[in-house]
Amino acid sequence: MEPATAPNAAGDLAPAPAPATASARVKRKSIPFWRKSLALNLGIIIVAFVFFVGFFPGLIAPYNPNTQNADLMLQAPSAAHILGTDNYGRDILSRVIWATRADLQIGLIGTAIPFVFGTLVGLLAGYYGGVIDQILMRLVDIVVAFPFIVLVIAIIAFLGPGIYNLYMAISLVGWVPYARIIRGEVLVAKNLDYVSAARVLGYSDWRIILRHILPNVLSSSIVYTAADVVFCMLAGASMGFLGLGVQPPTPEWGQAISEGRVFIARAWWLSTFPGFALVFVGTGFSLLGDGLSDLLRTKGR
Amino acid sequence: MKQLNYIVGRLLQIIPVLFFVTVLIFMMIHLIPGDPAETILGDKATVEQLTILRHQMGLDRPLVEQYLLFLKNLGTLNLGDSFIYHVPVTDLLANRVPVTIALTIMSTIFGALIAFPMGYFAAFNKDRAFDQGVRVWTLIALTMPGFWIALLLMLLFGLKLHWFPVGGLGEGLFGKFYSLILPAFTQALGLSALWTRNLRNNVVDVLRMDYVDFAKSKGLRDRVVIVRHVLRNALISTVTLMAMSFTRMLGGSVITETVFALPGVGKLMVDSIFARDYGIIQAITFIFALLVMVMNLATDISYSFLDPRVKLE
Repeated sequence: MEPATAPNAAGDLAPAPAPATASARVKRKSIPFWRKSLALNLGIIIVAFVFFVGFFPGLIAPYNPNTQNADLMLQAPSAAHILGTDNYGRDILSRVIWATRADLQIGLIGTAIPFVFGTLVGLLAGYYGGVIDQILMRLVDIVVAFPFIVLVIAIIAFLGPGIYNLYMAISLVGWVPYARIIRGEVLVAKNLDYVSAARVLGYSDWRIILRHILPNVLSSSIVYTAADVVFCMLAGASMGFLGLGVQPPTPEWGQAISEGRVFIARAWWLSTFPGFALVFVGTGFSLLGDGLSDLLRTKGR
Repeated sequence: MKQLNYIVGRLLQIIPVLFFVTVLIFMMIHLIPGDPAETILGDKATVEQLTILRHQMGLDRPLVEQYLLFLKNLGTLNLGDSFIYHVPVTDLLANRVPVTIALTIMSTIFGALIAFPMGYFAAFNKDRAFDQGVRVWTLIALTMPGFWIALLLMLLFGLKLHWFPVGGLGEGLFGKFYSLILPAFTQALGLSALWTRNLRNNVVDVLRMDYVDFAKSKGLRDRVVIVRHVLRNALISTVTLMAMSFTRMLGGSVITETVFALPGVGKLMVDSIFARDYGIIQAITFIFALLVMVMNLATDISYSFLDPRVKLE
């Protein structure tokens, strides 16, 4: 319910009639979201570009990423090969472009599975409380007793290297932040009036959890996914670097940096450029995350 | 007295977590697709060899018995010999844990040396060029992969300028310290960005507080206001964040040690993966978990002295 008197533009209380509040509301709505946050705009542009490159690398890459050429080994950057060539004579720019697919995939899948699983855990722990909450939160304590990367490496060590085991490892470890964020929000939301009302109406627990609570507790964990994409991508690249992630010849940035390591003294371009790609994509998602949280904060005020 | 209760309670809380951590690490051996003994020995192993190894690993016994054996070996530090170095794992770890801890401490000090002045000056120059520059830097620094930074630093300061060794651990105390500078700096860069951002925002928030205005209006000198009222309050939350970053720093050491060929536990873990030395991987995973738990305990206890209001959950 709107109060009968609302502060007007000057900030003092005046007996403002209903139209004034209405117009104030219209005015606030009329600021489009893209004018609110520069970070969000930049983030959206970069992320959209990265998605385009990831889906259609063939349209942009000047050469086939796997074509080897013994005459063109370890060529420095030139007009024909802007970022140079590697030890097999493959075009680095093309490999960096094609690798977008693998790294973006790791970032997205490595975020999506833990997001769903962690959200579910958080909902159950927060809503039911009691023994279920105790058990699930002790599970959280166990996972956070390990450094993230150490647990991922240990799991891959036993499962064996490769992309699917990487997803498995990240999924087993990465759900914890989501469970914590969602649980905290559910603890607040479940005591709000609309949830009590739904309970009085005799709705089932699942209907209350999914239709009434879930939509109202998701926003902060959605903001967190942007940072998580960067985090998973870096973890995936680290595994590629250690030889535990994406296996050659599939191009992947971390693995490319590792391959260039041997030649770092005479051919710096092998390891340098894939790293810039990681930083570029990471910055894009970070900006998107910062922008989303800006937006959420202005919405809250 | 209240602190003592808190400390005892907090110690008791660790026991169940420690138990399940060992269960989890124990179960990892069963993640190996197929038969662990076959995976370790390869295709050419004879049936006798397999049976002997299965017996040695205790795989022919019931699961509970296997777990108790694992626990006993872990507790008595009877971890067998390393496949790679052919020396007892315990001796190997005793030499390597200090390297990892030294690297982590040095990284934390470097990180603080970078983050404190940067965050502080950014807050006092809010929205001016320096602050904007710091903002862009922290955004980018947080996305830089550690192994990539390590290679670039190695290329610049090791191979081109010859200021620092390219890898390995030096001789003597100074040599060791000297060879850890570049790796520690690598680790410090990413985390210092996180800390800089945090400190800047804290200082900005504290500067808005009434007690700062009050301190100024009392006629205190600027330096006193800043050191006693602003910095002290802003640093509490940043130092907590730094303690929490310890876990990430330890995780990062696995990669940093591998790139710089430092003989720490992280590098041993990676080497053991390729040697299929599962016992060492389990032992190291346990050591990492133990270090994290001890550090969290230390943080919580020191916090209970700083802020007597904290309670057990």
